[in-house]
Parts: sequence; structure tokens; C-alpha cells
Amino acid sequence: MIDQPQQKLNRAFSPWWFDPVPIDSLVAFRVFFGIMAGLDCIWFLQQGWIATTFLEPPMLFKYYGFGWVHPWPGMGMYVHFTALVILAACVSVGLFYRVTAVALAMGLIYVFLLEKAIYLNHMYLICLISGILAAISCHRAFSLDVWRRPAMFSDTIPRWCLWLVRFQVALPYVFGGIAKLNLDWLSGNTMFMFFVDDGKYPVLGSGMTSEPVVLFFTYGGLLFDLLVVPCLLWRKTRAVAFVCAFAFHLMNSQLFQIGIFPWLMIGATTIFLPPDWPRRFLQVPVIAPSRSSESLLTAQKKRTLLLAAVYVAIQLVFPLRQFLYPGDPNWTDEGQAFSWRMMLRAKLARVEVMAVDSRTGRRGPMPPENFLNPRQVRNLSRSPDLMLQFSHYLAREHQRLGGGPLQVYWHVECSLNGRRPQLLIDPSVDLAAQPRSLWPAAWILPLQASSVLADR
Amino acid sequence: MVMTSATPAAKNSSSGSPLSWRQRVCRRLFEPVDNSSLTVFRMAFGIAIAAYAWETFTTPVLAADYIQPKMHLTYFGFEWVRPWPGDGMYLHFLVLFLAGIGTALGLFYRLAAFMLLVSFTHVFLIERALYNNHYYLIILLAFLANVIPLHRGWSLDSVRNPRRYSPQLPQWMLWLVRFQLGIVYFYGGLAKLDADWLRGQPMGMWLAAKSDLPVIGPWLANGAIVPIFSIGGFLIDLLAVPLLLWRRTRLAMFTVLVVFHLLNSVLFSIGLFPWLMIVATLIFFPPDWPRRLFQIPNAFPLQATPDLTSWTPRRKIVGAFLAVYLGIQLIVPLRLHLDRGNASWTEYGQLFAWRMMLRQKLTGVRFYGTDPATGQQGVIDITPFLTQRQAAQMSRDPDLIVHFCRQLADYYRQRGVPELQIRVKAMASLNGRKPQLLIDPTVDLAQQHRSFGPQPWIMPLTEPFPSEPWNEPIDQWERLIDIPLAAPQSLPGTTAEKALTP
Repeated sequence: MIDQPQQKLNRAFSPWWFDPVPIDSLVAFRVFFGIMAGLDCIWFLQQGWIATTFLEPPMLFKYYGFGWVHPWPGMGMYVHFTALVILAACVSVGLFYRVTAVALAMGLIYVFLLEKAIYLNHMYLICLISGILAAISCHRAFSLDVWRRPAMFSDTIPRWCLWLVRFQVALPYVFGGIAKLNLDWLSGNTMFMFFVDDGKYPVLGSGMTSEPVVLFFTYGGLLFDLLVVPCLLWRKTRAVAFVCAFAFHLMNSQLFQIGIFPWLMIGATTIFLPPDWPRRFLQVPVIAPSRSSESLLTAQKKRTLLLAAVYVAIQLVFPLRQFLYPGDPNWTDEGQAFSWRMMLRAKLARVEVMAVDSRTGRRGPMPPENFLNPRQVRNLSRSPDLMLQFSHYLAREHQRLGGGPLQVYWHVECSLNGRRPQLLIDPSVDLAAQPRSLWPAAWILPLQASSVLADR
Repeated sequence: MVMTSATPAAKNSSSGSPLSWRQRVCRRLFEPVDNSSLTVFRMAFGIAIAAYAWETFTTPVLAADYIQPKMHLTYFGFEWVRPWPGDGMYLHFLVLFLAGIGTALGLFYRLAAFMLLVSFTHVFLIERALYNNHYYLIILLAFLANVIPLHRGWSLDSVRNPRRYSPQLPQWMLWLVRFQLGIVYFYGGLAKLDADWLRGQPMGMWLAAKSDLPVIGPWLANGAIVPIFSIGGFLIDLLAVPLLLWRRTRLAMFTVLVVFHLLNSVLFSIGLFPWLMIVATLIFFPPDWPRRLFQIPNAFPLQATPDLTSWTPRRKIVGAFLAVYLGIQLIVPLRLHLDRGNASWTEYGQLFAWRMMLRQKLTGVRFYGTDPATGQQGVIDITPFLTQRQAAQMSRDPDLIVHFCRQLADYYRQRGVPELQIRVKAMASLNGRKPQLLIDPTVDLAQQHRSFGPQPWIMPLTEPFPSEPWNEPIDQWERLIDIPLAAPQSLPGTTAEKALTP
């Protein structure tokens, strides 16, 4: 006995979301993602970044609530990255996929959580994608698992799987576009600062900082972010959108050193093509579209849909928290991470740290570069939360070495997107005494609105 | 031999009257084969070129090699090939990158493959100091990619226009690519029939220099391992093709080659080449290996044209092309066996001959200029003219030394020294020999010409092969070796530094 609203629900969801669609594009995505994740880990190993990033710094910065995540002792981190390479290869060829995909996702998330000072939106995206891949069955074709157990083979996959990946890949574009809707970006200030920063560009040369070029890239970037996903999905605009995406990511690769990310995104863009594109490319007869064999919304399907809906809702709502904080996230850094706020700020700061031992009254400067590696120092100078963590670290270390309670005061002159420098942190507040919290920090001074379009 | 599924046409013709050898050759050449292995080759080739172009485009290498040098060392007969002015070389490499992508995807393939060939050849011809057998191979493969319609199989062109898709190509195209790669291995092996190589040099010196590598380092330092590397390298090169063609040994030989190329990659960082060679070597597998490995069904069975045994005019042209191309490829590398002494020493026939890894040539060169009008003499400083890499390459090659001397003479002619005489004291140590003179120091090189013919001013190699490699720093050579040579006094005013400051 199924009552009336239940039937409506069935009709609304089950047929469409669980209709089989060709698995091909997700399989290609799986193969490609595995290769890129593996290459990224190899690159990290080769560059010797494990030691400099995780083992040598006396302190690592933590994400709120994840202070308990620490690097493995001894050679553990090397073993971890080697294991990641192997797991990525297994995901790519679809070997023991159920286990290796989950392990890969967990291993990547673990690395991601180790150090907040290396936060990058693309690392976050890789973690999310690896999580989704672990949840869907894209190993049921073109995999060693199928070779081992042919019964597992399927040339289709429920539609929600495809759209979940599409949703995830689309998210950075759309939110990236929304985040650009601010005065700094729209006035061309931000883009100008990027081009000025990096000096000479080949081909365009000094033309890069001329007004028309800056405005072209400013509004081109904005339109691209907002429009690329719909244009990729619509057949008539697909080729143009693809060429634009290719050029856009190549530019990024050239202008900003962000490793494999541009290449990953170029490959990931193929998820917006018709799901049977690999079949068309390989000239294999295409599968006729069909409806879901069973139209009932079973309990298991309901759970699946509910989980997916919750995930989508979180992904949609979480970045919006940037609008709940007072002030500009570019300035306060509150709500900046996990919000797809990319390429939005050129933030330069001069940092002075003064520490006072409240028992002896002795005072002295504590330059962060004496404690941290250059990358940590660079990110610290932009992020009040990292300054707070560093203050706590100093106080803790001082007490461990037998000193009294330490007060830590910050004098941070910070210039955002070409504005005249102003104080970022209230210099009269002892940050060592401030707790970490997700609430807006009262000790971050507001950005004076006066000089938005100040002399560049 | 190739394992093609026997085509109906082939069966028919063989059931009739016995075929003449001409007919059999014709059938062999134009029999259709699955084109998927050639398609995979196309993709790997395109990706390798794109990666090379992008790597060059985004690193300072481009400016250092093609924009900053004041002077380029060119190939004899190609002195007219110049780099683009200004930032043009950046655009050039961008075009090469796009051509690589287009080739890999099979998108606008004819145009992409043509641009790839032209732009890569241009880059290649600009600077001889950057000569590398791999680059030469890439040019040859790019040429073949223009001859063979590699976009008939899986490609975006076929997706755009499905009628253009075909799962097959005539067999000669497959064998042409196999031949080209086979040539590299085979001549690479023949060249190792070299007295120095078989006696363990320069391999011994190179391995000793790598003894600080982790894990394998201590092994390399041990002299006993050298013959394994040099004889092994010789055998691998020489036997690669036959063992790849024989079905029973194919997989084993391929595995050996993968290890061989990876080892090369670790020991002698030569960039992308080992990876390209690994993928390219797959061409020796049955032509449908990608279909079989990835279980991609073929909806279009192979179709042979009915008259596989008759030489149509079109086929005669193909046959003539093959004869000429194969002939050139077979003969060009052999020119070094014209009796002109050790090719590693004179550098005659060193290029375009697959002579890989055969020489360690340490050189020291000094240029002496004499102005006959004033009697002024002096040492010419070459650092303002050449980059370190150019200088190193130039100093070991007599042809490049004379090329450089003539450019130097031109330079001084424009600055009021019409008849500058240039003599060089060029000392070279080949494969661990004691250094000796490479060029006759009494000859005025400004008056000599580049030529394919013998150059009498190249000194013959007389130093014997040493039991222990000569191992003295170059700045000590003149102190240790007594060369009966009237040292010209250094006079002020002729150093190039002053003259060149803009």
C-alpha cells in the first residue's frame, strides 16, 4: 500500500535520477583523475616538499576542529605519499576499486588537513572529487576489477552519479564567478595588481598592464566563470566553451604556478560532454537511452538520494557563510577558505610581532621568519587566523622553556589590492589570550572603505 | 611478421594462379591492417611534442636558447634559418604546442601535422649546438605523420565527420613507422661496434660519475659492471628490432627496452625522449593491440580493395617514394664509413647517423687573432659571442669551429679589421685519452670554408686509448702537456669584450 504523496515522490525522482546513462564519461574521468592525482603526489615527492612542508617546520597550522591531525612520525610521510601514488594508480586502472578509492580519498584528505598554510582551493576540490569517486561505481567498465569478475560489468550508471560529479566540477566556476562580483574585481584593480606583480610577460609584454587588456581579462574572467558550465552543457556553444576553457586554464598555468591543477581542470571539463563521448570517439555503437527498469523508489534508493541531496546542500550553503561575516573576506580571511574565492586578492603586508613576558616584563620582537618556512610566513602575513595560531604557539613554547605567560602583540600594515596600507590587527590586543573560534574576531580591524580605488 | 586477420581479397588472389614476386610485394604493401596502433602512436607523439613545447615555452630555456644568443651556430647549408625577431619565438612555441595538441586529438589533423613539422624543423635548424638525435627522429616522424593519414582512425576529425572514419590503413604505413624506429635501434647498435665503446669508454666514466645515486650508485662505481652496460647496450640496440618482430620474444624484448629507457632516463637526464620511445616501441606489437587490450569492438570490418595485386599508377608512386625514403634513411648514416678517421674525433658523419652515447669529448679552445695590417695580436674572448652551451658544443666540432671563426672575422671586418687572421689552439680529450691538438694551430681558419669534403687542417687522432682515463682539470692541461707551439704574445686592444659592448 503506497499512499498518494509517496507515489508523487516516486514519479518525481526515481525514474529520472536512477535512469541508466552511459558510464563511459565517468570511466574516462576516473582514469584521468587517477593519473593526475598520482602525478601530483610524485611531483610532491620529487620536489622534496615533504620535508620542507611537513617535517621541518616547528609548527603546522591547523584547520579549526582538526588540531588532532598530525604528520606521521619518521619516514611515515614518505610511505604515505608512496602509498597514495599506488592507490591513485589502482583507482585509475580500477583495481580493488571499492577499497582503493576510499583509501585514496582518505589519504588525500589527511594530507590536506595537515597544514592550513598550504590551503589551495584546488587541493580542496581534489579531495572532494576523490570522495565522490569513492562513493560511485565508476569501476564497472574498463577496469581490472571487471577483468577479474566479468559479472560486475555494466555499461551504464545511474544518472545521479554523473550529475553529482558535474555539480562538483561546476561549483568552483560558479562560486568563483559570484565571488568576483565585488568592486575590487569589477574595477579591474585586482587583475591589474596580478599583472603588475609578475613583471614582464612574453608576447604581450608591457601591454599586459594597459587598461583595455586588464579590463578584457577582468570581465572575460567573470563571464567565463559564470557562463562556462551552461555553455559546455548546451550543444551549440560547447565547442566555443571548450576552447575558452582550454585557453583559460593554459593562461592560469602560465601566469600562476598552480601545478597540475589547470591540466586537471581541462580534463575534468569533459564531464560536461554527452556521457557517451568516449564511445563516439572510439566509433563504438552507442547505447540507446533507456528508462530505469524499476520505477519504484526503494528504501535504498531513497537513502542514496537523501545522502546526495544533503551533500549538495552542504556544498551550496557552506561557501555562502562568507556573506555572514562582517567585512570583506579578502581582508579578514574569515569565510575565505572552502568558498571558491580564487584569484581575488593581492595582499601585501609588513608584519611585526612583539612579545612581552608578563612575569618578568621583558619584551622583544619575534619575527615569524625565525620560526617558519617562507611559505608559512607568506600565508601568515595574509591570514589573521594563522597569526592567532602562531601567537598561541609562541606562548606555548615560551612556557615550555620555563618562561611566564607570554603576551603577543601584532603590528600588521597590510595593503589589499593596491590600497594604501592600513592596520589589519588591533595592535593593543594580546593575541595569545584570544581563543580560536568561528565567530567574527573582534581584534581584526575593519577595512577602511575610503581608499577602494586609491592610486595604484 | 604481422599478424593480420587474413583478408578475403588476399585469400582470393592466392587461390588463383601463382603470383609473381611483384604481385606479392604489392599485396603485402597494400593489404589493410587495423590502424589503432598507429592511432595510439599519433596520440603519444602529439602529446610528447605538446609537452616539449609547453615546457620550453614556460621556462627560461626558450629565451636562453633562442632569444638571448647573439650568434647562432647553424647547419652547413642552412645558415639562412634565423629565429623570429622580438617575442616571435614565444608565439612559435605556442603554435608548436597547439600543433601537438591538434595532432594528438586528430583535430584539423592535416593542418596540425604540417604546422608541427614546419615549426619543429625551424626550431631544430636555428641552433646546431642543440643537435640531438632525438630531435632529428622527431622531425622524421613528423614527416611520416604528414605522409600517413593518422587521423583516419580515432580522432576528432572522424567524430566531426563520421564518413571519414576508417579502422584501417594500408600495411606499408605501419611498416614505414616500424622501419623508422627500427633504423634508430639498429644503427644505434652498429655505431656501438666502436673500439672505444667495446673497451668500456665513455660508459665507464659516466657510470663512475653517477656513483652518488641512491641504491644503484655503489654498483655503478664498480668497474666490473661497465662491460655489462656497454656490451648490453650494444646487444639491446642491435637485437631490439628482430626480437620485437618475433612473436615469442616480443614481450620480453619490450620489457627489456622499457627498463633500458627508464635507466637512461635516470642516469642521463634526456627529458621526454625515453618516454616517447617506450610508447613508440609499442608499434612493433600486432597493429590491433589497443583494440585487444582495451577490448574496443570494431563495428567496421577491414575491407580490402579487390585488386590487391596490381600496381596501379598511384601504388607505383607509393612504391617509388618508399624506395627513395628507405634508401636515404639507410645510406645517410653510413657516410661516416667513408675513410676519414674516427667520426667521434673528426665529427664527420656524426650527425643524422644515430651515433648515440659514443663519446666523451673534453675540450679547451683558445682563439688567437692577428691583424696583418698592424701586426697586432691577441687572444679573442668568446664569452660575449656564445653561450656556455654553444661554446662547449662548438669547441668539439671542427666544422663549428671554422663556422664560428668566419663569423668572428665578419664581426671584425665590420669594425675595421678587414683581414683578421684567426688561429686556434684546440685541445681535446676523447673518451679518456690524453688531450691532443684537434686543429692545426698554424692554419688561418678565417680563410677556410665549411665543406662536406675532407678538411686537411683537422689533426689525426694519435693518442692511444688509455688503460686509465685521463682525469685532469682542463685549466691544468697546458701545464701538463707540452705542445710545441709558439705562444703568441697577448697584446692589448684586440679582446672582443671591449669591441662588443653596445
